[in-house]
Amino acid sequence: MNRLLKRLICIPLAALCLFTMLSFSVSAEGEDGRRFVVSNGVSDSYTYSKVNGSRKVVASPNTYLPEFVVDSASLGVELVNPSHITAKDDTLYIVNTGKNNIIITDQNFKVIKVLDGFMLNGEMQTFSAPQGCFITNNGLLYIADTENQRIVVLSQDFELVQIINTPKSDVLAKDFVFKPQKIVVDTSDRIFVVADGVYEGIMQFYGDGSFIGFVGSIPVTANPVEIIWKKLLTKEQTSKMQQFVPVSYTNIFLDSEEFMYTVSLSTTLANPIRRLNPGGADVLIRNALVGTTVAGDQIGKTSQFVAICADENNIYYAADSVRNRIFVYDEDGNLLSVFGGSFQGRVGTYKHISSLLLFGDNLIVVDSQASIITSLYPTEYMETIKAGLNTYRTGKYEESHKYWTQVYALNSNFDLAYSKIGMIEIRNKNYEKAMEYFLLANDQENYSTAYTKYRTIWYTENLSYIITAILVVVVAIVVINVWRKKRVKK
Amino acid sequence: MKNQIKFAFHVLFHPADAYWDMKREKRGSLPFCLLLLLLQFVTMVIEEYCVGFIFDTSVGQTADILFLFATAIAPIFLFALANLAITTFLEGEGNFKDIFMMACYSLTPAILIRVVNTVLTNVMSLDEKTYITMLSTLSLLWVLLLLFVGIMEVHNYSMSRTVASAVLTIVSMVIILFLLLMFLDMVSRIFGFGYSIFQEMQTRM
Repeated sequence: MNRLLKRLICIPLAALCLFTMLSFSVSAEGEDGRRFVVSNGVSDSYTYSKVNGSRKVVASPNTYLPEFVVDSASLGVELVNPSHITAKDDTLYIVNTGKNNIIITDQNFKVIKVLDGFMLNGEMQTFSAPQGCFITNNGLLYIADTENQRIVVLSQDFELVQIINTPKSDVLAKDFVFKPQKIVVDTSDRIFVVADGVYEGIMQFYGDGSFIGFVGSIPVTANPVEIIWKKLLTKEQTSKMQQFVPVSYTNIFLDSEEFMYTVSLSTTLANPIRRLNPGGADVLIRNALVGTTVAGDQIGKTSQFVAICADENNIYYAADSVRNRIFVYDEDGNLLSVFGGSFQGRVGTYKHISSLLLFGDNLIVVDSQASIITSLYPTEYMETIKAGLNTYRTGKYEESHKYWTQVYALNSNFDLAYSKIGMIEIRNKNYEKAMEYFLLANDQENYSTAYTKYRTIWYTENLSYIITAILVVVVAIVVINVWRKKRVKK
Repeated sequence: MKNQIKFAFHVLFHPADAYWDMKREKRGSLPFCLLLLLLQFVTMVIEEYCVGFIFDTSVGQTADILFLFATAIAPIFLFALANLAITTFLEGEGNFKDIFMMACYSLTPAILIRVVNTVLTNVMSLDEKTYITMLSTLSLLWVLLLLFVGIMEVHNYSMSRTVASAVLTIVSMVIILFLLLMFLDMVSRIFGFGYSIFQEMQTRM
């Protein structure tokens, strides 16, 4: 009897508890280090559309929504100013800068190990404000130990393999201070390092730690008007002018093809997002179908990119520190979506994004100032766009057509969908149909291509009529002239 | 009417002769000039609405008829005014009516080529863009040439004097525009001042 009473009270109470928990935006606290959130469904995603040659902001459906957040409380380990996250298989490595350690978790953010340091000659060595790390396919862990001015390489069992200290080279200044921030290592063991205060490019090391040189130097472009001014002005005046310093890299990401996606603080002249081949040349495709350029926000203050990541289909994600938004571009440089925003107290807004990572389908965003890691899941809309792009890329045009039709059903303002269908229709030789779609996409160049084909076909089909018409006109003119002359004679 | 059209074509190919006749032998008529000006406006509207999609520079933008009207009409008056002001000092023989008519007749090539171009934009593709640019450049040069010859004949100028007055006309057009903008700005400021006083009074009393 007593038991029954207990149950009678407990079940509704539990249900009530669950209900109240759900009604808050943050729901049940998992034991695995994740805190799931219920998204409010408010869309803050947008894209740009070409209108009258200039770009206009066009609202779009949500592309990524927060699924869960990870913070000190949910992790059970203090998370202070995390600046980097990386993954290998199902293991995640979070660089916990503020606490000088690396947190290693499983895919559910359940802490496996907190790496505080390593043994060197029987002595415990600690990290000092590390800012980046990289894990190679064979399990070597490279840590950019920023304030200790070194790179630490640890084995799978966290035993010391190698320490790379400040490099010595003729191309480096004598008082050069080595502050590695971000690090990637390719399969041939070359180490690429983005270091603080280095303007020459990305530092490149051999596997044994010897310094090779810089790659991906950003050319300095000087404005001719400024050069003339500099000639005219005095030294004191020129010293007050902005200097032509090259921009410095802020983040680096090694993609599946061993190319490096990089972001740099942009001036209006240099390309802020680059994809470098191993030789350091920028090979990013900037061939957007519809009027977008790979430069972040195109209205107002220039975007300053601080983090980047890419998937195996070359869809890349870049985070802007000015407005804390994430920009998604496809392989050709088409802007797929912009989302996020500066911190407003709700999940999905950020104080300062320091790292991005694609983990499964989710996009993991590390906010170093708020010390929160947010995991976002792609919505149906984004999944459809991705599927459309991937099928198009692999030549499954019929399938791709289906996906893009779904995309514009979900967002009729998305020019890329129409443009892609137009391209598919060109392949299917339905030029008239293609023209229709390019018209919807405001895509004049491709419309012209389709139109040229359509026109040729039209000519050949109607050639007999055209020639007949011309003949009739010529004969009529001759007949009339003859008739007139006869009349004049009379 | 037929004669008038013939005269307009006469202007196209024999501008010196035609403008001399217009001034001295009273050929050409003011109503026809106004018709030409109207045609200038009408062809501009047609171009705006009927231009082929490939060559449309204002995709997705709404047409502003008033603005089109102003761009069609205002430059002619501006030119006539500026030219009159300059040539009065430079012993020009033409009066305002002569200059105005001369300017209107000079528009003929622009009107004709605009119609041709609008048709062409509907059949040509981007690869053939050159032809269209060529035609519009031709029309611009033709109009400028007609205006130049016009100034020469209407005012009975020598070559050097024509060049000088043409340059001065352009300069004075710029000055007139500048003054006009300044005047408009000032008027709007005065109006704004008055309005803020009105607001102040309204909230205080």
